[in-house]
Amino acid sequence: MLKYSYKINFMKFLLEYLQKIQNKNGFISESDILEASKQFQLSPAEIFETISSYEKFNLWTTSEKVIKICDSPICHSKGGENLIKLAEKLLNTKIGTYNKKFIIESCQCLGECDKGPVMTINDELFTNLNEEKLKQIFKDQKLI
Amino acid sequence: MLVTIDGKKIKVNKKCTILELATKNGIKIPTLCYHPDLRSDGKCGVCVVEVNGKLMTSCNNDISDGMIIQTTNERIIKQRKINAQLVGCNFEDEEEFRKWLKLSNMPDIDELKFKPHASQELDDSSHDIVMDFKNCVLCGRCIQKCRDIQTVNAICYKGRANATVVTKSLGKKLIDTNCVGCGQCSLVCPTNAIREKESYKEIKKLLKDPKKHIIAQTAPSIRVALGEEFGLEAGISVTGQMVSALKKVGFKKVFDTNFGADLTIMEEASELIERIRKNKDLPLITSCCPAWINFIETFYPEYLNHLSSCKSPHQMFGALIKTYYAQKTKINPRDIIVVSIMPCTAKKYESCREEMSVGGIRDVDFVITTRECAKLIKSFNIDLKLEKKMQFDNPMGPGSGGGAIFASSGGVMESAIRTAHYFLTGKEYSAIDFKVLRGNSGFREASIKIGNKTLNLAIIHSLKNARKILEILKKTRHKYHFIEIMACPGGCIGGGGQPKPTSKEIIKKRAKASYEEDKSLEFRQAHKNPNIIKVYMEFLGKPLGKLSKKLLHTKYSDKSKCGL
Amino acid sequence: MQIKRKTNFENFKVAKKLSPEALIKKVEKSGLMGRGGANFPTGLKWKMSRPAKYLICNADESEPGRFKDKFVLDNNPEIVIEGINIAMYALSTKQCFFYLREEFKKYKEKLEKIIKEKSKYKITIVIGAGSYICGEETAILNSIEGKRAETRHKPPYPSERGLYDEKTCVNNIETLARIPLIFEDDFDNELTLFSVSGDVQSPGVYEERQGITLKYLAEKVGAIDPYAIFFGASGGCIPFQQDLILSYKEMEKTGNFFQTGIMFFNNEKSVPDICRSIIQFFNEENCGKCLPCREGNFRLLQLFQVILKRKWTKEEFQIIQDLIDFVPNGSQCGLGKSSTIALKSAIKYFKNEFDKLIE
Repeated sequence: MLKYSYKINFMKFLLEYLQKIQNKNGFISESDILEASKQFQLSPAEIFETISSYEKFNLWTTSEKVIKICDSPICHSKGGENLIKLAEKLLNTKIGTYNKKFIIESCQCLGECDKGPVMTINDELFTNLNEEKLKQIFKDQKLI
Repeated sequence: MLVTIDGKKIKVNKKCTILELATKNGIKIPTLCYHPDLRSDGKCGVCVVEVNGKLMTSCNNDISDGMIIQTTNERIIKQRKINAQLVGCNFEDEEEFRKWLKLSNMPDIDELKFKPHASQELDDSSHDIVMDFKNCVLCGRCIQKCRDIQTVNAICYKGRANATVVTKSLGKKLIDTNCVGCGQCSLVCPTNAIREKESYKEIKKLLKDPKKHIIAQTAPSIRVALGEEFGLEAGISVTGQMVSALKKVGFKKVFDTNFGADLTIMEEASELIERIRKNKDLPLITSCCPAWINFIETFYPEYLNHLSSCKSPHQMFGALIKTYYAQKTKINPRDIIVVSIMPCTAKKYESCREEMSVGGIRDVDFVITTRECAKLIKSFNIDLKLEKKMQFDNPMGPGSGGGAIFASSGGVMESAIRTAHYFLTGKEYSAIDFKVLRGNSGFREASIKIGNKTLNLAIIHSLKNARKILEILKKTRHKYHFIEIMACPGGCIGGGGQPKPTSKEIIKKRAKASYEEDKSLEFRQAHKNPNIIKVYMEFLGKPLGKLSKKLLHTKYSDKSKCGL
Repeated sequence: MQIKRKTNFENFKVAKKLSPEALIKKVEKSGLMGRGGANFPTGLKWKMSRPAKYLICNADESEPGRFKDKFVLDNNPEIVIEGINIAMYALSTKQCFFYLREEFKKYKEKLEKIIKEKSKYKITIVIGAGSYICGEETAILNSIEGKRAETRHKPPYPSERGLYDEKTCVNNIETLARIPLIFEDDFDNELTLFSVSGDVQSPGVYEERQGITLKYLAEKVGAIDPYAIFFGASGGCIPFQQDLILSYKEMEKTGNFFQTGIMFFNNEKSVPDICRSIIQFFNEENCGKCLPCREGNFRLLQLFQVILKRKWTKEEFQIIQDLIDFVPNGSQCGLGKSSTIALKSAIKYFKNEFDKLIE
């Protein structure tokens, strides 16, 4: 019997295990991966491969506020790209640049196309955005 | 089934892929990520063919009754040209890219329109392997080898979409991962993104230094494979030409590592007999494969007591060169440089280990692979094919037939049994060719009667089978007496430093050549080799004696790192 | 709307009176087609998968312009569970996996409550982790098994060898929601949920018959100066035509692939710009396994980003056209094969807009 086999992990859901850690700590550390490796009898490399292929999982600590502004076709046509540029200007940062307090990340279609443009801050959804609304939300969130 | 390919109607009985059918019928379809020993996923898209008006990859699609296949037409050529554009920027340099285009029957293109976009740093932290992923085309062959065949998992994918890269486990440096240095990844990399850590250029400089006494020793696997680097077919033995070329390059002496293999047999057969007598630490497991040693130290350190304490052949030989040979020739051992030419990348780290030195002097100073050896010879504008055959130098060598078969999986076992049988019974084994120990499978078992004892033997190649047998040992520890384990598929002839391409078919041909060499030699058993008898009489004393233990034996330690 | 009808598990009792074989025949006869986008006959899929070890309810909707699955979860999750029960009876399956997109995790609690109260079979909820490709039927298998989010080669299809190498049936959540409705007197297999968004007065989900004209839909949703119509990100595009019939057969004639997520754009919007955002979507969401899709889409995006600063040279536009044919020809899965359909149609039908951007 080979030591590594996905059949051994029958009905043990790696995704669920990783999501619990991600939701609690905001990221998955190396020691978490080594522990998962023992529980699931998979090599750390395979777990690392799975983690890095999903958008939700982080391998490093993330900012307090994660801002995602949708730029998929509908939101894009309603000015999504300009909203991203405005957010970059208001927060004096670039998309993808990490700092302890906030980070603007790219995101794809959230399934709210009838209420676009949309944005999430830490899983809280804001819809039907425009420039004034964005500024107000950032003020409410104490980002500016 | 009736299949039409390029207008030709062919009757097919067995199911196969479109690519296999084309190859069988002499039609060359270009490939990049395809490898006959590995699973085909259709990753690179180069092998497209047209079937019923649609384009599809031929490596992972099966034929079906009534299929009409076209392997080349205007649409397919256009597709391949764009594919070449996308892939071309990842090759080491344009020359290598154009060589690949020609070799694989791809259409030529004018100039490369895209620039590469990968951005990983070069990783040369390991002693054995260098990983330069800016040249990676993501064919995934290396990961298949490391995951499915070696079960080491030192490399993996990371990310998704255009940020997908091949990288080391957990993003660490290679030396901090579980990598055992077997080099199977470098053996299958089509663009040399993964390659051995080269040292032949440094040796070339040292060859010019008149104060240094540089010696080369060549493994049994080199002589049956080196010819492939010079255009010869696989399985042609080029022993004599290799010696001649190496002498021309400037090595003062060219020795035969088969001699070192004979030393290993003398010591290991004696060790086997002692362990059987004491019924202690059985089964005895061979220790001449450094990647296997790295593997057991990393993943199964609880079994270290089963390993033979013998050094590997080239290390034993190096130790003797720096003592016995140095004394005989009155050369200062510090002026002797031993270069081992090996089919192996893991031996580079092995030669650096602290245990592989005596009195502060390293047994072996450099290890270069078969591929590096070819580059060294070519850099002197020498064509191996045109060299005259020469003999190995004395006083250390040549080796016996038992040493020659070390190259192939099962060879160490067979050779050890030839000698152990003589040591135990005083008689030679009746059938000198232990056919029952030969074969291609990575997990072979056999039982052999020596005198009134029946020995249970196992021969393993590929680390996934090493895992398998260690898991079996957990339950039935005392079933086996002696196990040979080689990390590389096929044994050393399929080693990580051998010429590319290497496949199961080519390994079979190389193995055949090494068994033929064994048959052709004057002495076929290690214990009959007069030079071996002389060394023990003049210098070492006896196998497992005090001096033998000091020079020819080693020890191991627990090197487990990140869990599994 | 029929999809909002509360059937209260009555139709499950009716379905159980038939044998599984007869039930599958009934589904086949009803003509119900899969609502996940591939339009495969549901009854035939069940026949091929039977007896299935696992059923997977695919609620990983991430296609831009499509938000009907969320509508079903908001308005009538009970009918989905009932549909799953009927399916599991027909397929002789004991275990179902309900794969929810990560953004739908808020529905987990409510679904588990319904499953506990009403479901006769075991349904386990699995939540995704942000990957569009996991909506593809083989990638969803890899995701549940804990592997890297990438597709598998077909054949073998999931009905032969799927989850944990067993026979598996993967159905879209809307398909399963329509299963109980087959037993209603007014069942209509052409009824489907259209998600309409863009430059319209009333964006949202509408239940209409396939085969309606674009004029009918545009009037219903209050389209404002419709100019270009895009069918999701992977369906293609076409200039607004009053009498265009919205059905799979008719759409094929135009070279597009019909999707039920319809995006209306007025003539102030730039079609090349919308194409750029579509290519950006596929560039970020492909799994990265195959070279043609991964590299081809990346180079296309690089070329489309050129127009932000300057115009295309004739050579660059030729490369774009070459790549548009190259990517689907070399790709292994549905995403790669459909990532450039929108661009191809856009260049065909809106050539003048592209010509303005070439030197």
